[in-house]
Amino acid sequence: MSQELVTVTIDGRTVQVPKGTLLVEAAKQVGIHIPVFCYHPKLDPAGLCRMCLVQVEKMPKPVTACTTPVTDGMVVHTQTQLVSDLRKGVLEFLLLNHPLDCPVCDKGGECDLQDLTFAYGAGTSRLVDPKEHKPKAVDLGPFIVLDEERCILCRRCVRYDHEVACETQLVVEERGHHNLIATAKGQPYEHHFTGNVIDLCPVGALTSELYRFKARPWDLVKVPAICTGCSVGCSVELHFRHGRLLRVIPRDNPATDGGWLCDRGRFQYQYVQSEERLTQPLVRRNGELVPVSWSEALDEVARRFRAIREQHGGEALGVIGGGRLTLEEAYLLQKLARAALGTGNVDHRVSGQVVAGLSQFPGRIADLSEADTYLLVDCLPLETAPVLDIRIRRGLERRRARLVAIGSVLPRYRVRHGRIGVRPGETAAVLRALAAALAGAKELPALPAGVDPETIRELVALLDKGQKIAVLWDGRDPATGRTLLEALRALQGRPGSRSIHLLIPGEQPMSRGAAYMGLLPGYLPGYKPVTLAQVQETLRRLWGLRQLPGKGLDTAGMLAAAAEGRLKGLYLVGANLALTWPDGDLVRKALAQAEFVVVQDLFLTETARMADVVLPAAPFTAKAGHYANLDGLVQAVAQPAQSPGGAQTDLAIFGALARTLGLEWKTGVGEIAREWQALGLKVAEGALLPGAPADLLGPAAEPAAAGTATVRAQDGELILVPVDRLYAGGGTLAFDPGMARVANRPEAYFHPEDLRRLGLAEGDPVTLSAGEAAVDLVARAAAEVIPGTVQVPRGLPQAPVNRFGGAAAVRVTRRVAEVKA
Amino acid sequence: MANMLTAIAKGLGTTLRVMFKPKVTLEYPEVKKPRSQRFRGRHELRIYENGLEMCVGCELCQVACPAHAITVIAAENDPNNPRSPGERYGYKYQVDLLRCIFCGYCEEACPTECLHLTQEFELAAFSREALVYQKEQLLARAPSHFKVPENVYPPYTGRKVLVAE
Ligand code: SF4
Ligand code: SF4
Ligand code: SF4
Ligand code: SF4
Ligand code: FES
Repeated sequence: MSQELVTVTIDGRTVQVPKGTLLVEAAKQVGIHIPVFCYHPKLDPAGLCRMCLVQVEKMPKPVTACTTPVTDGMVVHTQTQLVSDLRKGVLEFLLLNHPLDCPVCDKGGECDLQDLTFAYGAGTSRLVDPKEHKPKAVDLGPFIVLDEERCILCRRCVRYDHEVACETQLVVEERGHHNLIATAKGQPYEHHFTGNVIDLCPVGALTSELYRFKARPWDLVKVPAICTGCSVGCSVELHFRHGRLLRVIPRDNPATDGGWLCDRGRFQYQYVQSEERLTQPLVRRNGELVPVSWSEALDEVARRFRAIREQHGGEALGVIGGGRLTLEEAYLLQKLARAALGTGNVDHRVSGQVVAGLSQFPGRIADLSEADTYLLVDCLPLETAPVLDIRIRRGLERRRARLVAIGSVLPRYRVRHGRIGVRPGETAAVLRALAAALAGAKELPALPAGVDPETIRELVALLDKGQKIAVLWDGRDPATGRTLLEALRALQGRPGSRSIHLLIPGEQPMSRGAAYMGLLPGYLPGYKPVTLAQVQETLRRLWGLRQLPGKGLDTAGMLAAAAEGRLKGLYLVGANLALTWPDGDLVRKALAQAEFVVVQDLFLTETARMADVVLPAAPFTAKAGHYANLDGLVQAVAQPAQSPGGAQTDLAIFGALARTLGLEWKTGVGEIAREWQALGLKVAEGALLPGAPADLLGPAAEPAAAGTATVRAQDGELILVPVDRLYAGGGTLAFDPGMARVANRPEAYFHPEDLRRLGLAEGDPVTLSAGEAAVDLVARAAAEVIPGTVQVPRGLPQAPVNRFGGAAAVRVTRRVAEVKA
Repeated sequence: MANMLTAIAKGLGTTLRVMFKPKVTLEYPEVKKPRSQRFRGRHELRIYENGLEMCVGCELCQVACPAHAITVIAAENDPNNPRSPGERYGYKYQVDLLRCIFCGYCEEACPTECLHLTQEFELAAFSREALVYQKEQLLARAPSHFKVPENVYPPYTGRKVLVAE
């Protein structure tokens, strides 16, 4: 759209709008409402329903306001008798076969057809013939119920599926009055963004399975909140009735969600009121976890931690977690560790990701919508930060951008794109070659087997052409991170101008915020190194300490120390390490060896079952505070939506624990904000937190050592690659009754060639084994799997892939079907 | 003196006159005063002539009520054992008769003509809870003359699967 302005007069009101603006939008600006059904500001105009017909002077016939761009001097009339008759006529046609079962229809009360009929329709029907009947209550997909009779064929759902979700699953079948909404092959409508069609549907044809018949819109108490499902931090509105969370809808935020939600964010909410939620603290007595009062539990925690500290010093204590908390809570947790427990052993990282945001090449989510080149490094945005993928897909489908994926996991896109598949650990070698090529080297460093130097040259040519380059990386392997930065710097140094934006989807929703708040060993809030005398001084004064603990251990270090018996006490907050940490055995050993383990979580997770004290934490609905998402954007939640019930918010628990430890801390949101101010941290709605310093990636290793495959497979073995899946995970998802229908099954994904070579078929039961460890799964073929590897979702409670301790060479055997008794 | 006598005579006169007038006192509770056709007493949820509940759990009575006396929670019918025609029925239905001002708005709002206010007005009880009437207490005992409008609420046969090409 150009910036040239045109003048248009609508019902006598004159307005100047940019050239190319659609008539409906121009009318909105002067406060004139033109009724629409098929038009939606986020979809391409279609002109299907004819509801928006208006009269334009000098035009022989009425025109559709939703497809007509304004021109200079246009004079429009929306209130004439003709327009009113046309609207009445359109509504009469739409209602011809409409069942008018508003009383049983979930849309009743927020239905465009109801509202517009009330405003513009005829009072009665002239229809005497029986209505056309179509299927009702059709299960369109796992979350969506379709009523074909109520559909007015605006095609918003179909257009969304093509234009935004870029899935092309939904189609319109048959003709005329017999039109039906269906999927292309009759398959269930299933992808990561199906829920959005419920909001788009102007009538009650597409409704939510989970919300079905639960409430009317006027019953609902609506509370704005931030989705805590992943690190995108979409803006949502929570709808409660009788204190129960009944649905989640998006609030359009151009900086994050762009008005869309993924199905996990939209439908995973029932865990909040799950019967399995912990409502009372548990303490281990004679080997059993028994419910106790809050004061008893806190006394126990304080007493044991204090005893360990007196006997072995603060270094014998460790705190892990905080990546799911608010910024206030993360800050208080590290303060609790450093000032109350006297330990520098704090880390929020629970799954092997090292960084969730770097200060170099800062990127914003919105950059993805403008980028012309995407570089994906070991990253599956669709599975870790789904809403980002909507922007990427659109960029690819509209031929605005090109994409190259490098890594041991590759995404799947319909549009042609570049792919460089390697074994785990080899990504860094590819990037080193890329960096060298970008820096103009004649001779490229050694490339992993199967990667052609020509591919690297092509990639250089592609990157050279890019004006705006968005890079996504999973933040796990430090060597990959270092070489990636090296490559990006080399790219920056090339002739021509371009902007480079690096985004790292966080493993946890608030990884980036937790890191900034000092939940990292060696870094105080604001990424200030613990060794910095000036910050030490400020904090000592602020916290009233004589001595600040130095750089402590990271999660891996703490687990190793606990397993060896050096670390005696562990405090795990919202961290289900038994399932998320790459080395499951180490976690089990550490938790068994540690003298005293406290777990703070919503549910009795795999980790909590091994604890000595379990403190029940409240879900996000009971919290107010600030969140930071993957690009560092701070978003505030002003009001908690629910009371914590028998559980307590993490903030309240940290405060109570500090007081039980005999400290006179004030731990309100306001006091913490004052401490931030004293430390010079700018945390407020809309602020951008800086990224982490690159030192987090560690010192540059010997080029020869890094970048080679971490494991080699013998004959007949495959390399196991743990892979992210949106519906895997044992946290809130495993305890959510609404998500059971989509939760990832224990499956192993093979390249079709490998599957054939192993003599296996789709659906065969297989066992993956390496040494002692073995996991039972079901074989699936997936074309995006790199030959020679087998992918297994991370964090499946039924088949914890972390038994293998990360990438490993595994033997695949077909399981003999169990004999059913 | 004369004054006093006239006063007594007048009083006795009134007594005599009233004695021969028709009686207005009723022997309540044995005898009850006739009520207007449109009298608004306790609520009743009617049932169709085939025995299905007329309430579809639409909540319109709840939103119409100026006294917030009604709570409706709907649910999906079990196709094998439907409570009402169509997909949806009133799973929970409560009227707090202590809040109700018997305005009849709920009856007017009901799109299925299910809800109506009966002639019953003897609504005393010993506790407040007892005056929060539940669905079982409100459901009519006998079927009404209403027929199921099958064009609007066709019999619910359960969820359908998408038909393949
Ligand atoms: S789609 Fe709208 S008009 Fe149609 S039955 Fe539902 S509420 Fe009524
Ligand atoms: S199902 Fe809804 S959104 Fe889709 S065409 Fe029909 S009315 Fe439009
Ligand atoms: S009669 Fe009036 S006050 Fe009583 S329940 Fe109905 S709407 Fe409410
Ligand atoms: S208005 Fe009628 S049909 Fe709707 S919930 Fe009330 S009683 Fe039931
Ligand atoms: S809104 Fe313009 S034709 Fe549908």
